[in-house]
Formats: sequence, structure tokens, C-alpha cells
Amino acid sequence: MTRTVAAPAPVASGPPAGPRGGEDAAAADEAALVERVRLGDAAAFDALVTAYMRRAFSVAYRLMGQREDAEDLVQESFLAVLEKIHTFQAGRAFAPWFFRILVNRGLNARKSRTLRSVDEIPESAASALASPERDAERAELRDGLAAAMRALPDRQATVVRLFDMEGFSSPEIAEILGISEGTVRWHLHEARKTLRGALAPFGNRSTP
Amino acid sequence: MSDHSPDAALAAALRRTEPEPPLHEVDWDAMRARLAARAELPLARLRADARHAGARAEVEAPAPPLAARPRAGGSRALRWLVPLAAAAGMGGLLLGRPLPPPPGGGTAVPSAQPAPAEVQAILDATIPDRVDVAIDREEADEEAVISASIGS
Repeated sequence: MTRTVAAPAPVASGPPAGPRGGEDAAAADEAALVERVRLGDAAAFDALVTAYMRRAFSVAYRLMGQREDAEDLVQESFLAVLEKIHTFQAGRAFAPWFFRILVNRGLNARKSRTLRSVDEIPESAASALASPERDAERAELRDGLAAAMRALPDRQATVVRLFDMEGFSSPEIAEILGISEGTVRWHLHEARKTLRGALAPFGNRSTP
Repeated sequence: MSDHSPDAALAAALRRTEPEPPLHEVDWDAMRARLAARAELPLARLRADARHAGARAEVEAPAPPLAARPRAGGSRALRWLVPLAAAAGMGGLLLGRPLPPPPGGGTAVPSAQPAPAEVQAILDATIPDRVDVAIDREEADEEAVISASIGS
């Protein structure tokens, strides 16, 4: 199944591929956009929303597990940007600051709500199977890994999701979570140790 | 610790345990419209704050009031120059002017302490008008004041 996470828009976070001049220009464009938002420019706010909403939804969905909850989280996070824009330091990258708002709100929301059907494995995740035995083995592997993820401390699970599933770098995750890069790497190491342990009984980690 | 490079196999396995974000199911235009509506008030507040900040900057920008303006260097000289000029004038008058004889005749002896009215008259006589004008001016130039006081 092809991964469908949208590629970041031109002004989205992270160093885009290409010459450094392009990267600097994109950063400068984004800084100007954020400054216009600070002054109450509605068009600039819409441009920022358009640039980040897909990636924000992707991260929000991984945190919340439900489309509606993820949409709500994205909207609340963008509105929080307007509330907190006066605290944003000009010259900083916008993405880590924004995703920090989103991730913190998402983690708080997870703690306060009753998890509903996050544990269910949706039909879309099932793959075409050659045999019932293979099907059962894959389901068992999937269940084991899912259980291991659920058992991880929130911080470790978040680091794994952001790093391995959403493609954020260690420095970005450090800024999003407000921890050091060394701590990010430690959480990642610990989480992977647990998850690989869950996969170990099935031998080959490169699943079918 | 070297375990910080992407693990494609683990990532793939994890994606199979958790559903992919259903990006295709989201109405992005509707989300933007909802956000634009909810953001109207906060954006209006930001615009108002920006206007107030601009107005405050205009009020604070002009030159400080007259009393607070830094004095020209020459004005500090006036503080010692005026009494000095007055003293010089008084001394000159006392030395150069013949004292009236006492009512009963005899040699007049200068009084150690002139009367207040006499002091005022001496001050008025010794401080030329040009010095008064120079003192009044905020931009009094030290040279101009000295020149005015010595009559050069």
C-alpha cells in the first residue's frame, strides 16, 4: 500500500531539497508570512494554514486516531497560533513551534478523553493475503506491534511517530517537545528496543 | 548512541499497525473556511494591537519637552559666569567710585555689607542686557555669553 502522506508545501517545515539559496529564500518568505499574521493579516494566516494543514492533519491523526478529532486538533492548533503569536520569536523556524503547540494539545487531549476505536485495525490496513496461515501470522504480528506501541510511554510513542512515521528530524522533534536532541535519541532508542522486541518472535522485521 | 537513523522496516511495520491518515477524506476547503471564520476575531484583535502599538510609537517619538532637553554646554558656564561677573562689577564699583562723605564730615569708610537695594542696583548695572538675552536663549553659546559680559 502506498504511503499517502502529503509532501510539505513550499513553505512547510524542514530543509527542502535543493540549493541552500532556495532554502534561505523559503525561510525568509515564511518569516515574512508569520510577521504579517502577527499584524492580523487574514490572507497571510490563510496562506500559513494552507501550507501546513495537511502535514498537521497527518500528525494530529497519528496522535488522535480519529479523523474528526484530528481535524478539531488541527483547527484548535492554528487558532492557538493566533493567541500565542506574540510569543513567537522572529527569526525562528515556524514549523517546530507550531507542531509543538499541536503535539502538546494532542497529548493533553489523549489523556483527557476515552480512547474509542483507536485499538481497532481498520480494513484499509489489511493486505491481500496468500493463505490463512500467513494472514493469521500477519495479524498476530500487527497486534503484537500495536500492543507494544500502546504500552510505550507517551513521550517515546510520540518520538517514534514523529521520527519514523512522519519524518521529522531529531532537532525538530527536540524543539517540538522542548527536550534536548540527546533525550530525543534516547527515547527513540528505548522505544525501538521495545518495538523490535515485539517483532522478534516473527523473525523477519521486514513484514510481508 | 547511534540508533537515530531512519528505520524503514520498522516504520513500514508500524504503519501497518496504525491506519494511514485519511488525507483524501478531509474537505480542505471547508477546513480553511471554518478556520477563516473562527480566526476573524483573533485577527481583528491583532490588527487593533498593531494599530495601538503604532500610535504609541508616534506619541513617544517626538523630541522630549523643553525642560528635559539637554542643555547646551555653554549654559553650564553661565552658572559660574553670572555671579563672577556680578562680583567683578561690584568690586569695580566699590573700588572706583568715591564714597560720599559721612554726614558729619571725615573720611568715609566703605561699609562691609552694602544694603540690599544697593546690591540689586549693582547687579542690574553689571550684567549687561546682552548677557541677559544670552542666558534666556536655550542655545546660549559660551563664547557669546563671555563676549557679552566683557563688552567685547
